[in-house]
Amino acid sequence: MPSLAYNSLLKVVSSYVDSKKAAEVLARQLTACKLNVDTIASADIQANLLRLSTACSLYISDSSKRDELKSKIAAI
Amino acid sequence: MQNESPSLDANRSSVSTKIFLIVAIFSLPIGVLAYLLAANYTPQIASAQLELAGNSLQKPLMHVLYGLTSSKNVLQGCDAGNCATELTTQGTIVSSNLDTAAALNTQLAADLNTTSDGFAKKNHKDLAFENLESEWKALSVADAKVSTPAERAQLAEGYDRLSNQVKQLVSYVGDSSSLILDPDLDSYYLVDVTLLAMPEAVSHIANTASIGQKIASGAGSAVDQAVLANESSLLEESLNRIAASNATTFDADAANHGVSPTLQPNLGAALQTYKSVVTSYLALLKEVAGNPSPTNAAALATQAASAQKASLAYWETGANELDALLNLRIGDFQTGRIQALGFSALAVVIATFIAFAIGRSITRPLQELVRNLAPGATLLGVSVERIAEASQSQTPSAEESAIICEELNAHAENMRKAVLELARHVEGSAAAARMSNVEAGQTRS
Repeated sequence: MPSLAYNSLLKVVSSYVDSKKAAEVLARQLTACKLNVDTIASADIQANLLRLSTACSLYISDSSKRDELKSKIAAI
Repeated sequence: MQNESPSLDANRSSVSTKIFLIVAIFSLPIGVLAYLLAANYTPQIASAQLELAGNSLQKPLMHVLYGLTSSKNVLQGCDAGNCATELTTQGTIVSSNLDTAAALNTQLAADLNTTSDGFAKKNHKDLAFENLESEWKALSVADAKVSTPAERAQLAEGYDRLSNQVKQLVSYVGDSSSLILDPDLDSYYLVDVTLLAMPEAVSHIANTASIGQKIASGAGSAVDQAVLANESSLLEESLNRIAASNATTFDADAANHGVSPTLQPNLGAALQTYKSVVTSYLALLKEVAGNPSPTNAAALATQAASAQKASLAYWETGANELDALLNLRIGDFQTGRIQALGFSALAVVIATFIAFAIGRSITRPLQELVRNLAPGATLLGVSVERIAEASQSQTPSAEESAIICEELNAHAENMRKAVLELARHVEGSAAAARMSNVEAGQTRS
């Protein structure tokens, strides 16, 4: 069962990117970071903030929204 | 301006809309064919209903004919004054059935062309119900005053005249109701009996009874003997014709809108009775011709009355069975019409469901392709932007570059899968496998 932090992360990313694409990008990045959806915590998100926000923001054309997403992920 | 042209508008329609349009276009001929098929039943049902109407009007008319011929026989078999009761009885039959026929005609006249105008147009003014009723009234008044042989002969002529008119009316109704053109073999031969053979048979019975009485009473001449022989032959021939027509009706029944359960039992029994009574009557006529005597005269009057009654009973059974056959035909056509419409509607519904399922199988991979490719444009744009920013700042982030490469790779893989899936749908599995092998070869090289 996905962790609370993952659900929050997915919710934030899904508000900027298509939800299926968001889940796909996050799954790829979590694998790269050797994390999984069941155990990921806020601390893990903070530790991999650059990777997660960079990967997700590649699918957002508006640069201001990219910054907004980064700050929202950081706030999780 | 070009974008507003119909062809481009059609090109802009979604795949689902185009599939729906294809189904609609193919359903259109099914709908038209179903309509034509159903419409084909309607005149056949209307024609059978018209026949039913005609047959219903024949029933009281045949009773009138029976009453008139019986009255004539009564009149000729009695001495002055001793047949008033019997004449009154027959007169009541004629009056009540003429009234019934006239009342029925007010409902059916427009369909059967039996209005006064309708008769006039066909040069049959004399057959109009008003005319028949007034003639009958004149005869009724006359039969109360009959006393002398001359008056009786005059009244008998009047009965004959009216009988002929009623027979013509029966024939006219048979034509205008299309009974004469009945399209099925079983009912056609039954119409032959009820419409043509039986009215003639009733006349032959009346004529033989009339001449037979004359011969039996010793007043017959050689001409009367010849006429009696001739009328007897015609009655015998009519009996054979009726039996043959009945046999054809029975044989053809099953092949025309199914078996009528009452036809053979009812009509077969009625024919047997009629045949036996008329055969006895014919035998008696031969005896009367060979040996005229007052005893034979009395027996002849009784037998003639029995033959008239049997002919009417047989005719009634035939007319009722004709009704049953016509109702069976109407029911069969109505079922056929409902089935034609129902099966056509079912075919359209099934075709629509299949087209919907096929449409879904086409649009689903396309939607998947759109879902996979749509973020690609943003990804490529943002990736290029990032790389450009990184090259300008001269501080390329290795991690950011790696992430961009990973996402581009992942997207390329998604595109490859989507294109293969699309190829599988467009050109089939074999073509997709070939494409996959070519790609694998290119990757290896």
